[in-house]
Amino acid sequence: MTDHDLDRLLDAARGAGPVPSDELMSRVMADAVTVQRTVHLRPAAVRGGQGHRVQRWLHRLAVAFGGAGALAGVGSAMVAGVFIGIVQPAPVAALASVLLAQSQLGSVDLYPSEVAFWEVPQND
Amino acid sequence: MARDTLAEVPDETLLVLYASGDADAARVLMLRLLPRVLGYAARLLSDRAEAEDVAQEVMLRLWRVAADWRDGEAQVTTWVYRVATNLCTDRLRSRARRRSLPLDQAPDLVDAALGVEAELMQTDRMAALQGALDQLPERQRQAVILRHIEGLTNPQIALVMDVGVEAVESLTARGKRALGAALSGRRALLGYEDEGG
Repeated sequence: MTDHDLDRLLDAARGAGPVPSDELMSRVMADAVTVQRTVHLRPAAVRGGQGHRVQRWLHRLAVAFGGAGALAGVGSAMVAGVFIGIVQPAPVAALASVLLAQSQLGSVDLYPSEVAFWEVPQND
Repeated sequence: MARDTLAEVPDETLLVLYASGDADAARVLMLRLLPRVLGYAARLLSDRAEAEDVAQEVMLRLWRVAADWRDGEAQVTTWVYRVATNLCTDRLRSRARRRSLPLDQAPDLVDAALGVEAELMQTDRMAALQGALDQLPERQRQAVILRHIEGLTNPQIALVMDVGVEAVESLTARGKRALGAALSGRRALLGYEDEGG
């Protein structure tokens, strides 16, 4: 085979590559749409900058609490506490008043004061 | 942006448009790049199914880097060929023995406008060329395909293969000589004696 033949063969190969199937093109376009929606068109706060810092902070907090599950539990308890504090449902309010009354009872002066103790009653 | 309007837009600009939400830009880019990547991967791997997987992966990676693409840093085509080269190299190295391109897929490599006899001859020629390419050392094969089939310039090939231009010249020259040697004695069989020249 001469150099000229080889050049002709390579030239012919240049225009004879495989044609992408419709199925392959569909897969490639599906990838394009998915990446466009999930990566490129997300809000900037989620994609980078401030969003990344918030994510890193939440991650460190979750680790400190022993995992994301534990952090979620603590968060739920906090929200419930704030809610009960603000709304004050009737049973809770009743319980609070009882506890408050008990605490007031506890402050009742059960012993006579020092002055009263030494004060000798006078028999008139 | 309308697809007709995008026809003349450079690849790099299309990529930026895609990242900003233009779906038509993605389709135009795909129509431009996918056949080239698929053809290149098919010639390197000699396997249509594997070449399709590589081509899809290359395009997926392109979609992912779109938002970070810096205009002027690299050509999209060069980047795409480079990623394809690396993926094909990984596959070739993980393969114990490369399979040949099945003949039932060979019609993909011929021009539909040819007559039946010419089509058969073209099929034989493309199969012979593929067989000869398969015999080349990996780097020579990459350089020959990029230079003589994909039509890249030597500086572009140097970027794709991450070597100097002189190394590319050496690889393509040695590769082409080896290709000629592998096809020697097949001139008559491939119909070149009848055509003269």
